[in-house]
Amino acid sequence: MNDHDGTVFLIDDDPGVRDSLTLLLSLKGVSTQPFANAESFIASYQPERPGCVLTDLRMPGMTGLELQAALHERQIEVPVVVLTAHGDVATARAALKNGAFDFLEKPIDDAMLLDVLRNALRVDRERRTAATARATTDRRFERLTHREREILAFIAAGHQNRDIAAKLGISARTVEVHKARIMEKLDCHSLAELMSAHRAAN
Amino acid sequence: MNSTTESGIRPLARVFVPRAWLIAAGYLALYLLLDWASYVEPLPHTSITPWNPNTGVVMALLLARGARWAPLVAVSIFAGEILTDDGPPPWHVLALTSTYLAVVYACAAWTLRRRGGEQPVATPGGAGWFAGIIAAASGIAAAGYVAILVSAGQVAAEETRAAIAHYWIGEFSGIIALTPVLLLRVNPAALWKEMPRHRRELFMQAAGAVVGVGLTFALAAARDVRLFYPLFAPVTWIALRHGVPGAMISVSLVQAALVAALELTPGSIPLFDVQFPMLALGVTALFLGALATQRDSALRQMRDQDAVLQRSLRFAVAGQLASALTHELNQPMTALISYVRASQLMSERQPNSDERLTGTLRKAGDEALRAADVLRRLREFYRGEGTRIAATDALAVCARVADSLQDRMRRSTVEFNLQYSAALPQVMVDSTQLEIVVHNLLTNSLDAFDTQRGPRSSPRRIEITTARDGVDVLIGIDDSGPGIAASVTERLFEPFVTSKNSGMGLGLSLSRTFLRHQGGDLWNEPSRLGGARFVIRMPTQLTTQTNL
Repeated sequence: MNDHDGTVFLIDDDPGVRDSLTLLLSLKGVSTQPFANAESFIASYQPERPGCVLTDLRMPGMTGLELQAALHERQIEVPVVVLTAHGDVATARAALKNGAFDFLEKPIDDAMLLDVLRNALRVDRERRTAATARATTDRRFERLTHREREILAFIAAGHQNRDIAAKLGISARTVEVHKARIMEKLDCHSLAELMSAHRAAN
Repeated sequence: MNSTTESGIRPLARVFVPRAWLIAAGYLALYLLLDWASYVEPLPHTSITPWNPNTGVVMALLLARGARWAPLVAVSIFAGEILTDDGPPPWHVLALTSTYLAVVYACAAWTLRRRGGEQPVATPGGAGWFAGIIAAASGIAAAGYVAILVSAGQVAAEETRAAIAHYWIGEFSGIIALTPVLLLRVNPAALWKEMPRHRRELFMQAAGAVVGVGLTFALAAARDVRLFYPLFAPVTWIALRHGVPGAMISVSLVQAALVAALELTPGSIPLFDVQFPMLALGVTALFLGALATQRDSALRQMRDQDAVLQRSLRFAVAGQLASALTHELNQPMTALISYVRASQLMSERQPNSDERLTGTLRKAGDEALRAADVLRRLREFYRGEGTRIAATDALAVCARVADSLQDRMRRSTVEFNLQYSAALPQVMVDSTQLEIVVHNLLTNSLDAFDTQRGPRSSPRRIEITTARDGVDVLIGIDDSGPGIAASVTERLFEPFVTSKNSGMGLGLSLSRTFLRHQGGDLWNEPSRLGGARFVIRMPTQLTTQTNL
């Protein structure tokens, strides 16, 4: 595991916990960035940095649950692993209902912690990959002209070149040319690829 | 009070008949024995004696078993007169007097039972009613009895007033002294165990009673001195120390001893002269005993409640302490475990790592984890005394609890309904704790029914229904009882808030705590049945860490 895999953003008000977990995780090859409170994490958060949050639930200032709400409000989809020294099931349930990735009770078993964090980082990576792919497709679709989009819609609906030509009042040959253009712009090599790209974009 | 309602429920044919014969035989034997023993110094030409403990037996039977035993009473009175009188009146007169007396005492018993069941003298108020009704009944009995005898020519007309007075006081005094004793419910084993602790006092009390009887007797032997006071001291002492049981046992024994002593001594005062003091002694002891009994039971109840409170408070304080301690220790423990594990990793990665250092650090880490586990268990203990969450069929738990309360529901004539739902998923809770919660709620409903006064306007019903709420299961317990008093609604789930006379007010607060610790909840709503409705919410899924 290395830096590309993502960073664990560790938020805990206890300096001992912060220091020791940072040390342990970095020795295990997990890059870790500690924060003393949730506010400073939010202030320095960069959406393009992959990673996951490991946060204490009870902290002076913004609590773990409030941090979750704040992230949600800013539409930051980073996975949140919640730590608590109290093991209060009700709070833990609330955290999970609010979309926490997982929930661990202090004192934590280091093996379990590592397991959970690796899972969280993997989920974040997958989410980012999917988001990147979607962004690429979106960008490609933006390059289509109005007429090309019209024709693509007809193709996706299953119409033949001749039908499309008749409906748009153009020659079948022109439709053929447009179709080749669309394939090129969307980086598709077969009709099947074109169809699936269209589905993904919608 | 309870046993009479219970006996109505028991299968009568199997249990009741042989027991009834036993009771009848025991009653007859005791009645005839006492009638025979107390047949001393009758008024000339009558069976009117100064002391009638046998009527105490009559009253005890009628109070314990009900007025329907009156025919047996009539038979026993008839038999008693035939067997013990020297020259009894003709049988048709006897039949009339026996029936009359049985009817009068059955009416008295019926009145007393309607008021306070078969333990009439447990409180001073009860003792007052008991003494008043018995005084009236024995007066009516005496007047009618003597009237019948006079009209039958058995008693001379000029003796009417004296006969009535003597008979009245004899009956009254016999009932007052003996009936409470016969109605006592004593646990002989417990009494035997208590004995040694009070041995010296009991001995002194008995000695006091003997001295009292002796003094009275000695004074009586002087013929002119009709003093009865020496007996009040020991009887008062016993009544105040031992309540109704001690008071009435001592009064019965003192009366018997006195009658025996005076009877066996020729030339002492006539028994009719001590009739009234004997009655006064009986009534005094009854009231003092009732006061002492009430005081003792109030004290005991206070002590018991206090003990429960103290225990739960201690537990709560210990819980708070454990919670604070684990919280404070959790942070450094977390840091400690991580530091040790990190040191272990660093040591392992040294080019020429020292095996012993690596091994020692691994062991240190394991020990730290073990300490952490102790902390976790400590917290779990105080959180829910070792909650064991598992997939549970909530309806089966409800059915089990309802089964255990079946008797109570039948006794309170409550119609119970449990709505089954095959599609209900299992819930993730501790089944024992859920059982406690359901038991709490059902007994609350039953208690509410039991406190309802006046005629019943609607049938008593308790209903359990189920519903789904997302991934949760809801169980509703409805009743048609009086509902929850507005004065406690807002603070219903706070500890020590209760509307019951004998409640601690911990049931609902504990129930809610149990459920919330398991990710569920408990709240109340108005019920469509008109009473209270409590809703239990339980999760069907576990949070990811199952060892919570």
